[in-house]
Amino acid sequence: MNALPIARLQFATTTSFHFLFVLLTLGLVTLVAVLQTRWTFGGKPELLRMTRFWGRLYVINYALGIVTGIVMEFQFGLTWTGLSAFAGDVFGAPLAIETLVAFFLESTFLGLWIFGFGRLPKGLHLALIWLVTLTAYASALFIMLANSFLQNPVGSHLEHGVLRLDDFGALFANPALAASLPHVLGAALVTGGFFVVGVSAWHFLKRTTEVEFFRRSMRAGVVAALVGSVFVVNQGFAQFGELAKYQPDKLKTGGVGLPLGLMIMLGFVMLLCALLGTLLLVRNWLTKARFLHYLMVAAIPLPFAAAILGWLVRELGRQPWLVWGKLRTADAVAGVPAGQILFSFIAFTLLFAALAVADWVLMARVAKRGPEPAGEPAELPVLSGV
Amino acid sequence: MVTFWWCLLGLLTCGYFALAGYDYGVGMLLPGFEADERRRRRLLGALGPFFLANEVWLVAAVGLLFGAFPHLEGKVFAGAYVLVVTLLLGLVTFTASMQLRSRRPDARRGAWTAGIVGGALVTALSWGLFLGNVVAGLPPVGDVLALFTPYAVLWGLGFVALFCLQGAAFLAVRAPAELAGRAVRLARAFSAPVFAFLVIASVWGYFALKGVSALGAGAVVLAFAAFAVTRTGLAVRRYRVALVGSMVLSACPALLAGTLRFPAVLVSARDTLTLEQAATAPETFAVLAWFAPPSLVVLLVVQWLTWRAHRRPVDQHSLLHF
Repeated sequence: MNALPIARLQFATTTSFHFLFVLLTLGLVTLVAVLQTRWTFGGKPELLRMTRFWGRLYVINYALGIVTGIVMEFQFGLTWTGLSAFAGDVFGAPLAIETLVAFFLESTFLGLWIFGFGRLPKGLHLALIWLVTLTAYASALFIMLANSFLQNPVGSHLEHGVLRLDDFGALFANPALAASLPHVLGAALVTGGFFVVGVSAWHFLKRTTEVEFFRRSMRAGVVAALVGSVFVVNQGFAQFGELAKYQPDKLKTGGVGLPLGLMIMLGFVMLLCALLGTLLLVRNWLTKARFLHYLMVAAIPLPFAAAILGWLVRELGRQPWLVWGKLRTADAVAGVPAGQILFSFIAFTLLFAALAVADWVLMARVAKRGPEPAGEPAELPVLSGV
Repeated sequence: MVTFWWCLLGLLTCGYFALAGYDYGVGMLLPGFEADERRRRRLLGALGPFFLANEVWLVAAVGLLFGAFPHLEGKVFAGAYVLVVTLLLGLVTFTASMQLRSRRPDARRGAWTAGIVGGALVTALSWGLFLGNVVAGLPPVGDVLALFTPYAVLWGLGFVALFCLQGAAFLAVRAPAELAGRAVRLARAFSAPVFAFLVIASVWGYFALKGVSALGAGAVVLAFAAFAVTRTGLAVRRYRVALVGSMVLSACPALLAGTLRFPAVLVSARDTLTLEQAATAPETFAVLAWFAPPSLVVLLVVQWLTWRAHRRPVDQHSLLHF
C-alpha cells in the first residue's frame, strides 16, 4: 500500500470540510457586523433581533471551522514533514502569523462578543464584532499568502537543499495572491448572501408573520450576493492574466478542465441571480414572488459547490508539485506506514462527516425556528444573545 | 535569540495546559455531578466565558512551532503519529460538542454530553501518553506498540487525574454555590492519584532517563511545589490559590518536556535534535518578531480582563452560552 494517495486524500478531505465552514463564517460575520452597525447607529430594534438571529447561525457554523482547522494545522507535521524540512523557513512564517495574529485573537474577541451581549457598552460591543471580522479576513489573507507561496515560491532562494526567506514583502506581491484573495473573499460574501436569502425565502414560503424581519434580511442578503458575485466573476477572470505569469500550463493539466468549466458556469448563474434579485428589490417584488422563493432555498448550496470546484482547479493544477517547481508532493510525505495513515484518514473522515451533518441539521433547525419574539426574554437562566 | 523563541513557545504551550486543562477536567467531571439539565448548564456556564479563548492557545502554540521550529514539528508529530491522531479525534469531539450542545432550546443533548465527556477523556489520555513518550524519548517512526510503554501509560492515566484535579479546583472557584461543595470534595479526592503520579513518574524517571538537565530537575521541583500549594489551598478553603496551584501543576509536564535535556529538544530512537537544528532561519525569526510579541500582549491583556470580569461564581445573572 502506498502512503502518498491516502495522505493526499486525507488532507484534501480535511481541507474541503474546513473550506465549507470558513467560507460561510467569513460571509456571515460580515453581514452580522453590518447589521449590528446599523442598529448601533440609531437603527430599528428589528436590526438587533436580526443581529442576534444571524449571529446565532454564525456561531454554530464557526464551531466546525475551528476544529477542522486544528486538524489541518497538525497534518503539516503528521504527514507532510518534507514540506517543513524543505520550505518550513519560509512557509512557516505566514502560517504562524495566521494563528497568532488572526485566529488566536479572532476566537478571543468572539468569546467577548458572545458574552458581551447586553453587558458591554454598545460601541465597545460593536467594535468587538468588527475585530472578529477583521481578524477573520486577516486569517484568509495569511492562509492565501501561504497557499500562493506553494503555487509560486517567490521571495526565497535555494540554499543547501532548503528554501531560505529573502523578502517577506515579496510574498504579499505574489501574482498567485493578487487576484485570488479578492476572488475568495467575494466567494465568501456570495455564500453568506445566498444563505441569508435562502433562509429568509423559506420563511416566506411558510407564511411567516415576521415579514418585516425577513424582508430586511433578504435585502441585506441580496446586496451581499450582488457585491460578492461581481467581485468573484471579475477577479476570477483577472486570475487568468496572473496565472500566465507563474503557471502558464496549469489549466491544461488533466482533470482541471471540468471543474473550471462548472465553476465559471456557476459563477455566472449566481451573478445573474444576484442581478435579478437586486432588480426585484424595487417595491418589494422579491418578497412576493413565491415561485422564486423555492429557487432561492434550492440555491443555498450553489456557492459551496462552486468554491470546492475552484479549490480543485487551484490545487489539482499544482500537481505533481507541492512547492511549484521545487518540491514534489511525493518527496514531502512522511515516512509513516500507510496503514496508520489509512486509519487516521478513515477516522477523521467519519468524525468530520458526522459532525458536519449534525452541525447542518442543527443550523437548519435553528434557522427554521426563526428569531426570538420581540420583547426581552425574562426567564432564567439568562441565555446569551446568540 | 533562538532561546527567546523557545521560551515564547514554552509560554504558549504552558499557557495552553494551564488554561485548557480545566476545560477537559470539567468535561470529564460532568458525570460526577448528579445534575439535571439546569445544573449541568450552569456547570458548563462556569467555563463559558473562558472556553474559546483557552482552546486557541494550542492553535497558537502549534502555529509558532511550525513557524519558528519547523524541523522539530515534523519529527515530533510524525514520530508519535497514532497518539497525535487520537489526541485530535478527542479534541475535535470535545470542542465541537461543547460548542454545539446547547444551541437549541428544548433539544435532546445526551449525545453532545457524551461527546464532551468522552472527548475530554481521550484528549487527556492522549496528551499524557504523548508527553510521556517525548520525555522518555520517541520510539522508531511507525512502531505503534512502542508508544504504549508502561511509563507512557502511567503518564496517560496521570494526566486524567491531573486535569480532573484542575477542573475540580476551577469549579470550586466558579461553580454555582449549590455545586461548589461537591467540586471541593472531588478536588480533594483527585489529590491522592495526582500525588501518586508525581512521585512514581519522578522516581521512575530518575532511574530510567539519561542526561537530565538542571532545568528539567527544576520543573519537577516546581511541580511538587505547585501540588503543595494546591493541597494547602484546598485545606484552608482558599480555592483561588488552589486553582492557580493546579494550573501551574498542569503546565509542569510541558515545561519538563521542553527543558529536560536542553539544549537537546527532542530525543528519538534514531537521533537527537538540538535547539539550533530545530530552529528556522534568522530572517524568518525577524519577520515573526513583528507579529508575535504584539499579538501576545494584546491577548494577555484581553484575557486578563475577561478573568477579572468573570471571577465570581456563576449565579442567576450570569450569561450562559455553552
